[in-house]
Amino acid sequence: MSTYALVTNAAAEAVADAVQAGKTGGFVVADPLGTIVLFDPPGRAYSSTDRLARPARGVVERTRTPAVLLISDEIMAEALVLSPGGELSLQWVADWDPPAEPARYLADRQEWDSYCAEVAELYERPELGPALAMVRNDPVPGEERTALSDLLRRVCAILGLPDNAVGRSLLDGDEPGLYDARRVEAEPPNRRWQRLFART
Amino acid sequence: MDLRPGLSVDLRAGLGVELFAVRATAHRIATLAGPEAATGVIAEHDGWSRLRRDPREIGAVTRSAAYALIHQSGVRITGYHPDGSVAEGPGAATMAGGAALLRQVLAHDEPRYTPAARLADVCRALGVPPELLVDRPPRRLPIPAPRTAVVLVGLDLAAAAADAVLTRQSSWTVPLTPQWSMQVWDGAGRAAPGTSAAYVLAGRNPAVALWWSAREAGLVVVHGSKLVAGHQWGDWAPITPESTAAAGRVLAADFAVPDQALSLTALLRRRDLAPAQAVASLVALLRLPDAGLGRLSASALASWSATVPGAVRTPQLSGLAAIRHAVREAREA
Repeated sequence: MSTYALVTNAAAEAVADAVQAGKTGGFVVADPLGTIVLFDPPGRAYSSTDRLARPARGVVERTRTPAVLLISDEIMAEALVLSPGGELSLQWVADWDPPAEPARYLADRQEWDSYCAEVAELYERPELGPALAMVRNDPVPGEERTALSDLLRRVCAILGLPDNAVGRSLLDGDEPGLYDARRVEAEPPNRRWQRLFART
Repeated sequence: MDLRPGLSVDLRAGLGVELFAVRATAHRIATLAGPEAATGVIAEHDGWSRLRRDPREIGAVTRSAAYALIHQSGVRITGYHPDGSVAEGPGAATMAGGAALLRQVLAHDEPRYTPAARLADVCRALGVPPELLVDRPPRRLPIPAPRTAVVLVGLDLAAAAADAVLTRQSSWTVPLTPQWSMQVWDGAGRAAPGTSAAYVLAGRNPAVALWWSAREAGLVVVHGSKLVAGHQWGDWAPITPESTAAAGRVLAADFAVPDQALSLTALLRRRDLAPAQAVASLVALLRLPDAGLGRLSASALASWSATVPGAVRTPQLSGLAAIRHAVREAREA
């Protein structure tokens, strides 16, 4: 079950307006914990994170509120933190094996912790850096490895965003699968041009 | 409502007779329905929770689909939709093809089709993960503990302070012994990762990144640009008997306490020590003065550093400015 959803604390109305003003339509959900956007899939069968993130960047730019784009499949998961100040990505791979050498493992952990502090700062919640740094799927002996989808749910829980967006995507089907999802169409190009000319 | 009159499924053999499931995590339930409601979660899997009681109320509050599967004389299925509507029997399935599959599951009658298998198939038809049938309490999100980190540098104060600016963090350099100094982040700006700072400060001399919190304590030893040893007490790390022996030898050689190599290895292998205690014992074995290592928080250590006679404060500089500063300081030193 794949995930391709944007989660933000911006108001649902503002997000719907932003989606409408963009080039990609989708479903907007006003969840009690935030706003979820399921964007329509890009035209191509294969899409990079950069391509998938384009409509999300537009929403963040218009709402001026940090957001997280959740992307996952069976192999990898990514939480792309988008903010007016830039973007940083947290990524996990299902069969990740950390370095077996303690010194290298601990050095990598420190780098990860420091990177997560940067991500939390970008999200404008620097105090959440240490909690974000604990979202890992290291194979700990005697413990079940954390599923990729659960890693994304933890990120949402830490950042105070709706975790029910995980496992939701329009890449696999047309149904949003979320309660009260409202369809928002992107503005057609001819109307966008009209609006631009009207402004000038 | 019995879906098929006469069909009797005895689920008491190993499974229990009720399954209450809601498509919401324990975190979502706790946030929207209150922490008390979340205590009723007895299993969690892939965004679903299994509850102790009927999930209608929690489903409505969390705006999530919920199901009650109850066995009396047959399997009774009730689906609660977030809008408050209720569906029973095969009509409770919302997934494409779910209702047809449910009918098949409930109608199939064969001795080999066990109650456990039937209930698991009911779950699949509804999109409920069958893993919920196994009691698996939700994992609690680990709570991070504030961490304090320092870098021990095998240089005298003047030489260590000259290089301190290269770590690109605002810091205090404090003398520990004639051969060893300590670099402490002073709280201004962002702290550099301990191992990165150790890389910068280790040249011909060794450097040790040392950190501790209420959860864990650890160290990494750097020689030149190479990580030579690492260890952690507390949280999981790939520590082995070989790695502790190697780390013990390296620490004993670097701190010129060869007689303590075995004691250091023994200390590194202990699992019963609190992080603070482990660091305090390490400092004692390395014959370093008690500088609050293992005990003090980052801010307390920075405050203490400011009171140490001879301690040098270096600002956070970047790029060429840092290199110029380091070269100038090294010449003066």
